[in-house]
Amino acid sequence: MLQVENLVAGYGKVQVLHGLSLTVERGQLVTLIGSNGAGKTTTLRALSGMIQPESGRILLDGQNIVGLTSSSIARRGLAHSPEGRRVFATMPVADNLTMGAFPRLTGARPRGDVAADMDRMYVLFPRLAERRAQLAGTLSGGEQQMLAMARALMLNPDVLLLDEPSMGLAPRLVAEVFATIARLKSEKVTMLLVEQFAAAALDVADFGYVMENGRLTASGPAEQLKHDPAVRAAYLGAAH
Amino acid sequence: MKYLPLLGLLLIFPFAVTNPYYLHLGIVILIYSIVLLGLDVVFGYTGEVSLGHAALLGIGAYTAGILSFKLGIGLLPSLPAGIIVAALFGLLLALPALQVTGPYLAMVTLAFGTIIYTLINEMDFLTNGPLGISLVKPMFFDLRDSGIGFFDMSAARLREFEFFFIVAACFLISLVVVNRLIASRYGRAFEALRDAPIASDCMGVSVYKHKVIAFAFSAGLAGLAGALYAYSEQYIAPNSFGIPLAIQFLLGVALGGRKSRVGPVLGAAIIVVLPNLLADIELFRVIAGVIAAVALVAGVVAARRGAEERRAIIVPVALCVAFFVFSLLLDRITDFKLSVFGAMILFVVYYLPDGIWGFVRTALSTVRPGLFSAHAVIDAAGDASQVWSAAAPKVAAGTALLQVEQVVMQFGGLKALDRVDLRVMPSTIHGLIGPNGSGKSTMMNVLTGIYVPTAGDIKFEGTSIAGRKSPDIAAAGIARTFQNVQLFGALTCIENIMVGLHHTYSAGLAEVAVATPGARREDRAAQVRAASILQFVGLGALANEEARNLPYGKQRLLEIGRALALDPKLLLLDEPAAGLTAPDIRELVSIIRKIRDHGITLLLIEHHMDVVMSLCDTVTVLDFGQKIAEGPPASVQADPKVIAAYLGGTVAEAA
Repeated sequence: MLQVENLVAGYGKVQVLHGLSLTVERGQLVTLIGSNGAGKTTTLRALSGMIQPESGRILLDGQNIVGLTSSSIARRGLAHSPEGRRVFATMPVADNLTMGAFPRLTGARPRGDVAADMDRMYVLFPRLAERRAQLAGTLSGGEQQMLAMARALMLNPDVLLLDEPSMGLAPRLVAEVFATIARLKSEKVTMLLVEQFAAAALDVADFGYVMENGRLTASGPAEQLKHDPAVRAAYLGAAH
Repeated sequence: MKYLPLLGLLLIFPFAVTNPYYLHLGIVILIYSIVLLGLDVVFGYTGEVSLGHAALLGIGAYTAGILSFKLGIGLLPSLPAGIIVAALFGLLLALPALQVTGPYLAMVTLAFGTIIYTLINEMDFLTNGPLGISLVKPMFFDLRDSGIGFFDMSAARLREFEFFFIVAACFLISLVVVNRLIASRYGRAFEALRDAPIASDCMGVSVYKHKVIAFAFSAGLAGLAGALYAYSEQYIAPNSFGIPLAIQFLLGVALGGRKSRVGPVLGAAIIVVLPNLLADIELFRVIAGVIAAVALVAGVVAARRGAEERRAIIVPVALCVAFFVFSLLLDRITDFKLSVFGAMILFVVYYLPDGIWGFVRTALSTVRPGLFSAHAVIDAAGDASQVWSAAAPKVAAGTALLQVEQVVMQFGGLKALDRVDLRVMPSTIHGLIGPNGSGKSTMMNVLTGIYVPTAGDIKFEGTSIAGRKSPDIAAAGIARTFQNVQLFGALTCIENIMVGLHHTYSAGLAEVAVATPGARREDRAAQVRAASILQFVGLGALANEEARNLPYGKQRLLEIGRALALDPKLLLLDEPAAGLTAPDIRELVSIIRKIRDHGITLLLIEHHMDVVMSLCDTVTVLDFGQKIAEGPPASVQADPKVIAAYLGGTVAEAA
């Protein structure tokens, strides 16, 4: 579904990714783990066209999407729930969700039942239902995080990129977010997940990649990575 | 030292350019450069748009004019007078106007320009109205025509040749002063408040106060330029200082390149010379040819670097070549003068967003990296003994450092905080937890003066701080970090910390301008202190890296370092572990412990329960704006209400 080949990308003069290759099969949940600054967020940003890679190929359903703008990548079915809660602050929650479905409403993507999907989001995130008329900018940080994720889902994406979906959430909600991710997985949504809760991410994922300094250092089925002593020591906090 | 080539150039110019017309153009360019250098401080550094600078130039010019016309006072006294009067008018404008920002400030300055124009026109008794004022250049020794140069003592009126040196001296001094200002704590404050105004206020660097300083300073330079302008033209009338000139000034800075010294000078040269160029078809063709040639070279260089760059550059290169072809086909330039001027401005604004100098800088940097660094490299060595200098909190043993009493914070119908009490004891770590939207961050914002509580009181060291402004509260000793990191992205790590150290400086604007030994000493001390703090948070190696280039986890640590620079007695941390991986969290926990061990009290909002449990002495739990539990971590964790509202099952230990 999503195939990345020798991706090189960065910001200005600073090269962050030095030839990254990874694959996400259709219906698979793949997680990308690594320490801060390893290049996880940069990878997602390059995939969704927020930064332009210097070289390499990104194949979405077999088609190269390098060089396309973020909006046309979104229309091809790749949704990005960005780190740091980039919600439309001056719009109500409900309108934020509608914006997520924008390519469906303009006919760039199959329309489906937008209203039903919106209701589904309110079931997934009851907190958003309570606040549907509130301006997104006045939500608390954690609520904005949920909204960003729900908005991305409103695209009915073929591939969903999730950047730190649990960041800043109360423990109970972290559990809910992972339950939501598991439910999406059972619905065969293809996902690439970046998470600081590496252990929880590996619990729910099918396959994992470990990144360090812009390169992959390990990869394998999530179950196997979880028991890899090196991965445990470096990312799972096993030294506690 | 670095000014020597420029000094040489200015000294040679009047000897090399003998044509009085071109010499006069040179003088006007230097005068406009002084205005634009000042305007860049406002427009480039603080990011505010001013359309009042033509009026401020006019105020300087009329100060000189009126002094000469009414009192017979000459050039030299009128220079400081021009600065002072214009700076006062700038202050008068800035004090109310800078309460608003963005397009509103532009509108207020526009109105100011119109009012000044009208006043000059109407106040016949002082300004001679629309008739204007004529001035004569002062008497001085004749420097040029005498056979033996400087020894001819016969006095004559200054001509362009001599006057050039006076203007050049004023320009050089302005340049040096602007350079010093930008390199000082003021310059850092200007950039900080543009990047993150709320964080700036919470670091004790008042956004409002520093915008007013920047504007008044900038007005002073415009006043100096105005006084020079009056004597350069020897005649001033109200319509020399209209809105079109104000727009030209803004364009000059944007075209030349913001946030630099070269840019404004380049911009001044363009707005002075361009109208003259467009009057002469031959010259116009030559210029168009040069532009096309430069564009072609840039295009070839870019094309060799890959398909992406080739696509990006093809349109502007084609436009430049088309412009040259157009210039060849044209036979009467005057018909197209305004259109050509407009088209060129449009082109630069669209394709060279950083102005011409920004473009040149980028181009040269790709050839020789590191040639133009945006930041002065600060390589002060850190010293572990210099990290801490907080005074011990002034509270009696057993009393709270921070006491929140029945605080209510209401937004419309929503009570984000509903009669919350909180007592934070000195030298403890107090945890604040609760579900998302329960009012934790609102509490932080109330404590730091971002919100004024609807009801209730907040006492810090026994004095009420409710309703006080953020910079005051910061000065009282409360520092904070932000849930969504708010660093000064365009500043380097060490500069970020130095903004936090703003309060350690005592040298004012005047001392910075003349670079007194005290001011230099202070700056060096701050550099060492900043380096020490960076080392403490583990970022010593990244001192000269721009903050926005740091990975997320390091940004969080830098934010803590910046807060420590304030020498706080109370440090508020809003979700410091969010987004950090397990090893980073261990490092963070040890840093927080060390901060507490140095006697600083901490209030910690955090969702990682293992962090909260291992660090906190007391934990308060909020839900829907109300306190639902409080006590030692273990008892709070076992509280059924807390488990139901916040912790949920056993997944809490996912990390």
